[in-house]
Order: sequence, then C-alpha cells, then structure tokens
Amino acid sequence: MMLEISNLKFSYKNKEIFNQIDFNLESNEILSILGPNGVGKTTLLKCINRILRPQGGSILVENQDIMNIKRIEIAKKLGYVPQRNETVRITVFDAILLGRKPHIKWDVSNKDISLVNSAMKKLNMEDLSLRYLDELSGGELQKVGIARAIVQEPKILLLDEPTSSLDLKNQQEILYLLSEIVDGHDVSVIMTMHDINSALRFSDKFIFLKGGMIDSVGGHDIITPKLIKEVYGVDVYIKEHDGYPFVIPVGRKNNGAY
Amino acid sequence: MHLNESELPEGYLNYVWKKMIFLIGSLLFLIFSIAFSVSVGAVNIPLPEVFKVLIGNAQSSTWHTIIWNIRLPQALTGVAAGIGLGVAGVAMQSILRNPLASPFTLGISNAGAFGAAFSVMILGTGTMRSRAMDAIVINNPYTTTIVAFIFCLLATAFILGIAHMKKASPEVMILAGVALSSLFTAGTMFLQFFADDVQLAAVVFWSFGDVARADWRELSIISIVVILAAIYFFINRWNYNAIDAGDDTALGLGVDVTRIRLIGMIVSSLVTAVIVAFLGVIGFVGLVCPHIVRILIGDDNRFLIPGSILMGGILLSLSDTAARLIVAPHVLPVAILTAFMGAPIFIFLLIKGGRR
Repeated sequence: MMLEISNLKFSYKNKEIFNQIDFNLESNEILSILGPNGVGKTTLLKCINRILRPQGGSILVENQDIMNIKRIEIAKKLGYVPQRNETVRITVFDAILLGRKPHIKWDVSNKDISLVNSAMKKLNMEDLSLRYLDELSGGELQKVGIARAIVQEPKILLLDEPTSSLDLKNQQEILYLLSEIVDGHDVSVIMTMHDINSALRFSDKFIFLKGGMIDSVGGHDIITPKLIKEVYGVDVYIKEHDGYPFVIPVGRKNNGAY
Repeated sequence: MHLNESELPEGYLNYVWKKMIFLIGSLLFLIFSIAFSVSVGAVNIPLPEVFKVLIGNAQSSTWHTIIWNIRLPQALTGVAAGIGLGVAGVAMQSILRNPLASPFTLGISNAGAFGAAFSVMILGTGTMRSRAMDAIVINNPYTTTIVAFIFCLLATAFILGIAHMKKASPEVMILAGVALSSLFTAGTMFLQFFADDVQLAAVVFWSFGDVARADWRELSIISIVVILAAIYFFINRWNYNAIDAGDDTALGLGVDVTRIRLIGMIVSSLVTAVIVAFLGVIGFVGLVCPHIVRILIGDDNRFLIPGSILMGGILLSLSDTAARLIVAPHVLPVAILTAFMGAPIFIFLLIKGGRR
C-alpha cells in the first residue's frame, strides 16, 4: 500500500474543517479529491504532507508514519505542486533544480543537474530551459511546478487544482502528463479538482468531501446522479462515452426549477 | 517517471559559468576599490607605494601612519559595513518576500540608532567629546551594541508581526517601517532635547552614518559579526530560493519556513545593530545593492547573496572614497551620499510595483 490515511482531523482556529478522514491509495493510482468550494479539499491535500499539521490521525507512506518525522524526510516521499507558482526572476532550469532541495547537502551535484536535464527532456521543456519564469505562460508555469515535484523523486505527487487556470489544450496536456508519470512507475498522484469530468476521465479513484467528512470514496462505479446531488446539490445525468462516465447537469426549466 | 542520469546540459553550464565570472569580476573590482580608497584623499599616495606600505616596505613613515592608522581601517570598515548591509538587505528581501525590504526601509536601522544613543546617554556606555568629526568614543562597545540590538529586535518583531498578518502587502510593511523610523527618530530627538551641547553633538552622530569613525578594534567586532552572518546566509541560499518560490512550495521541499525566517531576521538585526552602533545609520545600501545584482544576474540566491555581499562592499567603499573627494579637504559622512543615490532608486522601485 502506497498511502494509508486513518482518522485524520484538522481544525483551523477552533473551526473544525474535517475529521474522520480515512482512505488508502495504491501505487500507480491517480486519486481526485472532489467537493464543493470551501469544503476543505486544499486543506486535506496540505495535511497529507504536513504543510498544515493535522490535529490527529495517522498518515502512513509505504508503512512509515510521517506524522513525527522531519520535514525534509517527508519531502523525499511527497512532492507538492501549489495552485499558483511564484514568478521570481530565475530560469526554468534553476526553478526545476530547486526540486532537488531535499537531496542537496551543500550544493547541487552533477547528478542533480543531469536529473533535471532528463526530466526536462521527458516533459519536452528543453526549449524553455534558460527562459525566466516571469516570461512564461500559465500552462508552462504549471509544467515547471510539476517538473520540480518530479525531480524531487517522491512516491506521491500532491497537486492543488493543476488545471484550474489553464485553457483546454493545456488542461489536456497536464492531465495526460500526469497519466504518463504514474504509468508503469512507482508513483501515485493525489489532486484536488473542480472539473469533475476531467477528474473522471483521468483518475482511478475519487474522494467526495462534504461537511467535514468523506461522503464517498471509490472508483468509477461510485459515480451516480444521487451522489452528485448529495455532494453538490445539483441534478445531473450521467452518460457514458469512450468508456468513461460524464456528468451533465440537468438544465433549469424556465420557471427556475430543475 | 524514471529519470536517467544523462549528459550535462551545456547551455546551462555556460549560463552558470557566466554568473561565476560576474562574481569573480566583482571580487577583483572590490579589491581594486579598496586599493583606490586607500590611495586617494587629502594626501594622494600612488598605488605602488600603497602596496609597499602594506607589505611592510614603507618608504615614508608619514605614509605608513596615514595608511595603517587612517585609510586602511576606514576603507575596510566601509567594505565590512557595505557587506553587512548588502547581505542583511538581500536576506530580508527574501525572508519577507518583499523587494522593498532592507534594514533602513523597515525602520530597523533607526531603532538601532535610538538604542545606541540611549545606551550612550542614559546608560553612560560612551564618552562624548565636542569634536565635530569624532564626537563620541564608545567605551563599552558590547553594551552599546547589545542595547542597539535589543531595539533592532523590537523593530524586527513588529515587522514580523505585520508580515504575519494576512494581506500585508510589501508597501504596507514599508509604511510600517516608516512609522517605526518616525517613532525611533522621535525618541532620539527626545534624547537630544534634554541633552547638553556636547551630548547633542554626539547624538547627531547617529543620524550621519560614517565609516571614518571606526578604529581597528571596532572594525574587528563589525567584521566578525558580518563575516559570520554572511556565511550563515550563504549556507541558507537554497532555503531562501525555496522561500522565494512561495511558502507552500518551500514547506513541500522540506524547508522549515518559520524557523528559517525567524533566525534570518534575528541575524539581519544583529548585523544592522553592530553597524549602526559603531557607524550610525547608513541608508539604502541594503536596499539598492541586491537590486543592482538582481538586474545583472537575476534572483537566484546562490549567486544573488554573494553578489550582494560584493556589491555592498564595492558600493560603500566607492561612496566613501567619493565622499572624501567631493568637498576635499573636507569629508562628507558617507550616509549623505548613499541617501542621495539610494532615495531615487527606492522611489523607482516603488513606482515599478512592489511584488516580485
């Protein structure tokens, strides 16, 4: 088992965000955390690598509890890609090289530099190598964030809304990239998603959060109109296309009712 | 995704090498500017003679005295103070993620100046003389520095409190620094109001930062603190790169952001306190040097920190030399010159927009 989370609790200034979060993740799986705005998707993601410290529960990564190990050791197991990347004036290569931070002792080695070079080749980013971050588009910047997390060589990649500010082409590119990353490698992905259909298309497993709890967890088989209504309060149809379920909201009638 | 160790990218290695060349060039220029600074002044000593004196082969005992007792300590003090202010500035800009940050613009320098004046006047750690250039002798440098440091820390705690508040923009932090500066300047004025003539002359000391005051003993205290701080900041260059990429990214990369931030601010405050206690307030060096280096070689702290160290030394050394030459045979306090140069650059940075 790659990841086992049990009984995870988190409160922010006495306000309980969630409790009783339990789920598992296998190697090579992509898991999407779904749910309405403000339900705590990002908070849950940040708790998994202790960017936010959970008040209780356990997080086992390959059977090691990370609740009480050093942050730098966590960084060797879990890579985090925030929703927005800061655009300081450093080159793409240096920005990705920063991903080697948990492995750097005094300074970067030739091994670090060649790993970054290899990652850039695999992500077709070689042309960007010496461009400055503040000259990049949103999609390119997102790829830099992912590349940085990849050279960290983690077991699990955590991504916060990886496609939220991207156009359709870039969304596709990022999601296919994630599929390639987990495909046949000893890596898993956990991401928060707004776009439920992209999540359905590219993920193996889903967590639906509602009211501080996991409403449902499972594979494609758990996706039903009843579940979507329960979590989002919206009536939907579910159609199958190309082997994947698609969620289509029922349009409003003229009188405002569904 | 399996990553292979492939060949090294030549373009990137060339790019890194260019930055190294910049640093080596800056170091050579710094050495030249020290030599130049020792050579010129009311009496011009030719450079070859300067080297002869330095290697103990002096032709003239007057030159020996001028160089060893006056010029060299002054030049090295300028370099040490410039390095200290440059590195404190670059660290603060990274730690607070605020391009406008520096010991001076955050009000920390003025807090230190008040602390030093307070220590000397109220706690009696210095002796005052009514000579214009050398108005004060600090008998107890440790107490004076410690009191200055305490006030620097108070100002730092306040700034960190503001930084901790959500949505504290870089401009808000700088406005808080302006408020702090006003507060501590008012405190210094309060001391001035109750001072006698001799004390008054002495307190004015701290408002005109000058590197000509330090002797070898003071220079060694400043140097030790500055060198240790510079080493500390250089060791943490990767941590600052991570913090530059955003707090969440830094935490995800295993950096203990809160601890790095706190220690960094304390070390910057200590450097500021030592410089201010002995030399007075020298504004804008800490703000301007990192920006000159940013424009030339970018924001990567691996190169930015040593670059700012060298640039601080160069800038203050050249400014001090200029301050000695502009109205020769009179000597201007270097702080007046750095303010003339720094203020327009500060305004430019404000207009350009705070966030990096």
